[in-house]
Amino acid sequence: MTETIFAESREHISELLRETAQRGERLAVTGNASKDWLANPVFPDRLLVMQKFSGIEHYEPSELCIRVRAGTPLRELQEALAAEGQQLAAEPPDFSGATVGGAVAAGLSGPGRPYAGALRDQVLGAQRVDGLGQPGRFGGEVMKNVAGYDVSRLMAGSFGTLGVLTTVSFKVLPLPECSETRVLAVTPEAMQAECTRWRQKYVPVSATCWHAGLLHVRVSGAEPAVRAFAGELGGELMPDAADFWCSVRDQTHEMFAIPEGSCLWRLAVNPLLPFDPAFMPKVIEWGGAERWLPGPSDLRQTMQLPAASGHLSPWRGWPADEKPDWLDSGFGALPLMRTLQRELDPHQIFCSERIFAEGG
Amino acid sequence: MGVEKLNQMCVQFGRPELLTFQAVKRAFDPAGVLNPGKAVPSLQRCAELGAMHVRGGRLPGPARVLICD
Repeated sequence: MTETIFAESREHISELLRETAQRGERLAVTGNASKDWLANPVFPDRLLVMQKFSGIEHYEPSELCIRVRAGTPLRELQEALAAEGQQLAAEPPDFSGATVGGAVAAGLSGPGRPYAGALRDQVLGAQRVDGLGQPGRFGGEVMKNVAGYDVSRLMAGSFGTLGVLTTVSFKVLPLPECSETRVLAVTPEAMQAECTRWRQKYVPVSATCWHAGLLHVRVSGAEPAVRAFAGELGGELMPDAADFWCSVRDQTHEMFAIPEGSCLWRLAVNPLLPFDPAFMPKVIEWGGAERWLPGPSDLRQTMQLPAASGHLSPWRGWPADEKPDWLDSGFGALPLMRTLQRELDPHQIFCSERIFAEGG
Repeated sequence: MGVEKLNQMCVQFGRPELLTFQAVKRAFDPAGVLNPGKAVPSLQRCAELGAMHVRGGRLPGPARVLICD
């Protein structure tokens, strides 16, 4: 039976973690449970819910920096930024009402990731309570912060296994002056060649998404640059493109629907990795670096990625008890990640099975 | 940074942060052979420094202004 506790303050969290360690119990952290289906399932004694530890602590638009509490809804952060003509350029997915802490802990970025940087790169600082219940502050509110290691960025993608995030500072960017989306009919191979060509030039592409023979290209920036490049691209102008990109970011678009009897796999790969006709993705984002592939539940057994070309993660569509491990056992950084987790959580109070296989 | 500003880190960071940095360091360098004593101060070093009198954000000696965020 899991005991649910709502975080009230940093002191409350510290006390709770100390007590959990003393009792030899294990604790999981959640924001709004919008990504419970992601990574491996956990079985904690206590569930710490961050929802009520919410609010914007500091926002100085002219400094391009915002500091927010972990339980703040991502939407609230985005609205506060938009009111000042700014944005979180990594476009982390909202799914069903993500919190800021959950977005950082999952480390996911949206369609803009290859062009504007990952969410991890936009974390400037964080406050965290460690596995001994000790609160710490890492990084700050400026890009140049060289003292110590980048512990705040380490929290991105740690899924609550390295401590409880309480506050995060982000670098924010201005919203583009102008944006338009063009739709081109191309094969995945032609898309790959085009995206490579764009990477070699300085062009105002801010997102790409290929599905069913159509490549959607978002062009953003100063108006003359956008109009000129969009004209060069040709294709069709897409109406209501902002809604489309939100539906790609949150995977609510029908292109992410999983066919009966399949599971959805995510491939994060070198964008130049050739397409294997036996394993054609249904959706391709990030200029070829992120590919979504409906396939059998045991795809890892049949699909071999060339060494160091990327990795395959189980996304959606499995019953909870049949889902393969989040990280492939062959993933090169796995032993280091394990060691790091044990060092930062010496009493093993955080549910490390969220990202590491049982007994692995 | 690395050696020259090591002492400032004892003031900028507290014990939990320094222990975290050391844990990160141990994970990457369990034998402690990669530039030992650099980049992250030992608690011992900070304790010794702690014996120094800090007033108005300054340590004794010229041009040792502390950087706090």
